[in-house]
Amino acid sequence: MSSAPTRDEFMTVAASREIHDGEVAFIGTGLPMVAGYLAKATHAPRVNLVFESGIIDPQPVDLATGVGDYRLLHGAAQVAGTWYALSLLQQGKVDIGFLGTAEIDAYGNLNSTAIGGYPKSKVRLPGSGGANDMASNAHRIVIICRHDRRRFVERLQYLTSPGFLDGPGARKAAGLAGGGPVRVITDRAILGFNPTTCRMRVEALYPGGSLEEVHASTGFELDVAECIEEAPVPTAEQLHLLRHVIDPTGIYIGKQANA
Amino acid sequence: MTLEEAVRGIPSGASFTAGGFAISHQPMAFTREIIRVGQRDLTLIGMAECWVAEWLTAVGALKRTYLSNFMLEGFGRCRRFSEAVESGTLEVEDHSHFGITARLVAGGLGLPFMPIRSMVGTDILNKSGFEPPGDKFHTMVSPFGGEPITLISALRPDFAILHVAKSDELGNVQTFGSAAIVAEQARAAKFVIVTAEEIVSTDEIRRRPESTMIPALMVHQVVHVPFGAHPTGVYGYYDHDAPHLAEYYEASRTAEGVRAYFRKYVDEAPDHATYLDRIGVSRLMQLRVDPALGYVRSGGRP
Amino acid sequence: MKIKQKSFAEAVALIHDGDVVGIGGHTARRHPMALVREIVRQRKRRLHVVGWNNGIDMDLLIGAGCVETVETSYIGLGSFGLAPNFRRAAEAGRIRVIEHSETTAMDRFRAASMGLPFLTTKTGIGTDLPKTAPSMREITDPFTGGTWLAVQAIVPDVAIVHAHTADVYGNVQLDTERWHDTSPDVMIARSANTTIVSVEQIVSTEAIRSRPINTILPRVDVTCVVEAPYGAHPCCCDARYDYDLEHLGMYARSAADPAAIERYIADWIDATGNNDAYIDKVGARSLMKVSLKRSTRQ
Repeated sequence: MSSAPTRDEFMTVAASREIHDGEVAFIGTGLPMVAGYLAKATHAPRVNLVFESGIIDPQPVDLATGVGDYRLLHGAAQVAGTWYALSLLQQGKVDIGFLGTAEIDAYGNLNSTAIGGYPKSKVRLPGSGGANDMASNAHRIVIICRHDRRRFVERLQYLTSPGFLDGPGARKAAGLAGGGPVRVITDRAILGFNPTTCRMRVEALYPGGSLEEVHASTGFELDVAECIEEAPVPTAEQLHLLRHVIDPTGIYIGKQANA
Repeated sequence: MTLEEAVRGIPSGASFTAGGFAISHQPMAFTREIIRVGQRDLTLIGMAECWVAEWLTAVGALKRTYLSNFMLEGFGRCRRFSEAVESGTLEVEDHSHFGITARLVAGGLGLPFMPIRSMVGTDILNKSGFEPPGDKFHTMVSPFGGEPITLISALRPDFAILHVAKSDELGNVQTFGSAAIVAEQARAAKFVIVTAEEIVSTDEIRRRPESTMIPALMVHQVVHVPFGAHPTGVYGYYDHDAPHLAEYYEASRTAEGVRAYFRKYVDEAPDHATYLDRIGVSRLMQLRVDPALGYVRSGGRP
Repeated sequence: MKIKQKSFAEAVALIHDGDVVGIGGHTARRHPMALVREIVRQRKRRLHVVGWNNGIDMDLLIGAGCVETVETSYIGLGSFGLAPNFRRAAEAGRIRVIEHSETTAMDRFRAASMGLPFLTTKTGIGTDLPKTAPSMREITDPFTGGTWLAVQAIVPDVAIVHAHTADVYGNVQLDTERWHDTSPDVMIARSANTTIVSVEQIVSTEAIRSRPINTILPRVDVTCVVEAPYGAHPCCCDARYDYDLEHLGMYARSAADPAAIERYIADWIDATGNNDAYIDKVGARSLMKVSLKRSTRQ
């Protein structure tokens, strides 16, 4: 009898459900990598996982610690360079991408560059990397991050990666090809975006979660979908894959506290 | 051509780009030699060669950097890089990965700019670092179809420093695995220095000409530097040395820690062979990757 | 499947004083030197060492006092001249020497590896070789009446050879670039009761199974495998690394003087204690100088 699913596992399952079979998915390090492999092992066996290091459709035996990790190269159908992998994005060949972030606003815009001033910052973060490229060009973006007031802010201190910019029509006006964010998966809720206003809204809660807790963790006015759903509960098969096959040593899952 | 000779050819104030991505194929032996020779006021054009950026920032060799992202994948933030930006001693000009690569591609193609769909509408273009915005990009209406399109200007580094798997003595380079943007860097730079794990016969290169990533006509200097990426890895040879990278990452908490690290691995190891002996040949042998898996499998699984 | 990987200490503990030990390699090429050094460390005594063309491997064992009987076609240090420890010991009568040609030496292993009591050859007829070799007898061909030499099979107690890769189950491979020289070591390995193989790298079973044609000894022929990077040093190892001529020269000078060979053994063998410390002591400059193919990629 296995133990109850953790929040990490809820989040990973929710993320994996965003990937549809046969799609091209652009994957980074962390929970997205686990989610990608979970999708491939369950409902999306033909998903084509692509990584910014230029690794195309790999079949790793051991979970990689990063997109540059040699474990990730095992069984790859093709290995090219970063220019090649990212040009797939610009050409519109990537259906879905996953991003983390240090700050996020109501329109799903992201900051991974700087806090407190620019270019001389109070806190300098790593920088865009492939995040801006993914956010600009992928058909759909899913953001995965922790949910607290420091992260969910009214106004970003630096806009690294575009969500809906300042609202409806802004992406198109700026000349951005991709469709923007469709989901934000946090440790407190699963959120989406109001199709009319492009503002973030709560769509599903985890067992034991509440709207009050979500609002209290959010530094801007958060919409709420008309019908709040329950977050999909990880199945026994999914838990087995996560715990014993994909991430048995808990490189990514289990680093965060349990639900 | 020795490593020291190649490094001494880079003057203070030069601009350069270095190969590698995260824990793979960064030219760390070359970087240790730069630290020893002591160039200053360098400009780095960087796409994920985080360890090069972190170390050269730590010793005060960098004045400014065009970058997309410096993050010690598997560890955390580049502490010395972050601290230098925060204190104003290192100037930055931000990009996305695709954006900075596009600038090198434009430079390599002999073009003044490259049209691009990334970075548009964000502070990567709307807020400038050290580069005047007009030098970095322009937006225009496309003459074909009328959509708004952004043009990002070309970059041509003075030097490219690339660590690869194999080169012949002429400079024909074949390398394994994911090469990040080594090919683009070689094309864009005015002077290309290749450090190679192995110097092979030109016959070996010519037997598989389609595998040649950089032809000799683009390469100016070749230096044989076995284990030249340590403590990062080289695909097909050795994995990254995680405990050694962790040793630096821990030391980087303080300026004194960083000084102690470089004293141990640069000052007290005046050449590459001595450095390798500090690591120990037996330790380097443990880092050899499995021929089929491509990495070092731990946990006792056959 | 049984895990056959062992440490050096465990593997060489399988060799007992007085054993007949077959040693692979030839002409300073791919002798199992790391295993030889461990035999010296463990101070094995009264060994009967057998090979087909030997050098620093047997000379070192003789210099360390491990050997009672030597059986091979040649012991010398190639361009560095005669094998001094061997020469001193043979001339003083401290070791018994059994003479062979390369053919007759190989035939002993060849016959045993084929499960035969002896093989026949013309080599040696009319020479003094059979006089010191109880394993050689003149016989008459029952079909033609011709005279042949019968060379008796040898079943060593232990065989030690060095190869390129093996998995933990004991499947041993040589690289695709092996420069044709595989059969003598395979015969030596197969002839013995206990077979110890040192390899440059222990690899995954996936690596073995993806190139089955490179397997020279399947696990059924192998007692144990030991990981020994640069395990043939200072001999060469096919396409992987060249002879370390500096070290061979230093050894030759040490071996020429009975006091100096004691110091060589103390410094390079006893003081190092294992192969890791030995290669650390040889050092990166020397090892990178002799290294040829360093990529492990198949």
